[in-house]
Amino acid sequence: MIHMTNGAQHQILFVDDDTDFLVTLRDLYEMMSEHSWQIHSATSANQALEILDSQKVDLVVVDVNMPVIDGIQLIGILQRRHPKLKRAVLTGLATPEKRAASLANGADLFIEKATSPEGYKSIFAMLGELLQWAPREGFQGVLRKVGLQDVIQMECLARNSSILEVYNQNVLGRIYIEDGQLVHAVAGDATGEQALFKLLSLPGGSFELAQFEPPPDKTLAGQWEMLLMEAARVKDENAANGNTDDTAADTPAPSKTYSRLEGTFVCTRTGETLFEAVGDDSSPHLTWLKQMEQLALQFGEILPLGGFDRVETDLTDGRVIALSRANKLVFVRVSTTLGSK
Amino acid sequence: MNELLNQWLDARLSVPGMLACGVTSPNMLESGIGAANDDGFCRSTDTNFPVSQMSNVLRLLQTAPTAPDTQSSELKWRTWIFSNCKIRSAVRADGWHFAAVVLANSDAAQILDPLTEEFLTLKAAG
Repeated sequence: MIHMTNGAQHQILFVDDDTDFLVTLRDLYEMMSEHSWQIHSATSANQALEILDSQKVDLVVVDVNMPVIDGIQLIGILQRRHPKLKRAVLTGLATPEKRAASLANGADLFIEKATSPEGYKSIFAMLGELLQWAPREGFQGVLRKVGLQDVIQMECLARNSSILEVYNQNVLGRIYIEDGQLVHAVAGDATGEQALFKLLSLPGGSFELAQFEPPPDKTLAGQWEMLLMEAARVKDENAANGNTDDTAADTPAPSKTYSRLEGTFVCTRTGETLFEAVGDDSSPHLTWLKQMEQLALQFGEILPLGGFDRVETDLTDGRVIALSRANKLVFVRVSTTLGSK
Repeated sequence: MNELLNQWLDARLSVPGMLACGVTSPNMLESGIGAANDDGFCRSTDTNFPVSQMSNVLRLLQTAPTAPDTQSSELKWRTWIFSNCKIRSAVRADGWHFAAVVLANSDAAQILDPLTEEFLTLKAAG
């Protein structure tokens, strides 16, 4: 089903095991685009890969339910083999699970097959939009390689505004950062701290740092440092409870103890101050952070403890955390009170 | 107190994930402690976490400096968190110091808080 390029502006490959559907789409969309789109067709993943190896294609539109290699797997293969290719999933059975899996595997768009001519016009318009999309600013990462917390810290420390889109096979969420503060989080039905903790507890997945748009709501308040600390604590608790599956972090945000951030200090390992809110003199904080890390390293030389993460000092009225990151040391002092805020 | 802590420590060794633990007396000698002496005692359930090394960790833990801005607060305990393990340390009002090394994400890690509370509130028989 390979059609020779005829000077059309866009080359689009549809992959579907329904031959009649492919023929219909080709005729329809070539006509609607006034032949500025040239439609190629493949009835299997293998055939699609052969076409992609033999000629330039701008956009691939893949059905989910196909024999041998399904569309979601194919999207994953395409992301690795043809990372610049735009990818869309078009399926007759759209479910939240398929949507999350498609996006996690690298689909740019997830569309349900239409049941009316109007529907096919809409799909045509969406694919047209996708063809016009410029490469996004920012970067993509994989949570196992780059910690989501690290990215949030970098964005907040730089006082950036951005949206962190996080997804894996079960969860799709967004974390809104505005002027260096966490302002909104959503993950499935959850919002606010519950959503943030859920996303930060994910054992794996992907994220994209997208251009900022105002959030539909503002569900997060307070200092980002404290929210990340709480997220780390919730994650630890979930792990200790053996609650490590992708949907485990539905743990409600802690509600009985109220915390207030009393001081924060962030510096590089060389002692350069990056952020300081600890009063007039931050030198004791720097000294203490270095001493604590030094001790932790000594423990690590004595016993096989693994990489050092942080020290939590629990007080009767709060907590102090010394956090070690790749190139940063962080001091956070939180006071806690029981009862109403 | 010594015997009471000895028994308490022995009983806690069986918690899954407990790798090593120990206590030191307020007048622990600079030379450190072994499996047992008048100044404290250590226990280990894992050959990678021998008593001798746990003794060194206990000694180092006592050198941890007080965090800034906490002079008016009372210390409950410290938790050193590593990728594989956690170290919990706490000091009683009478000066006895407890430390435990537990496997991260284990039963022992989950009960660190009540375990430490137990240590802090143990009462000597006489």
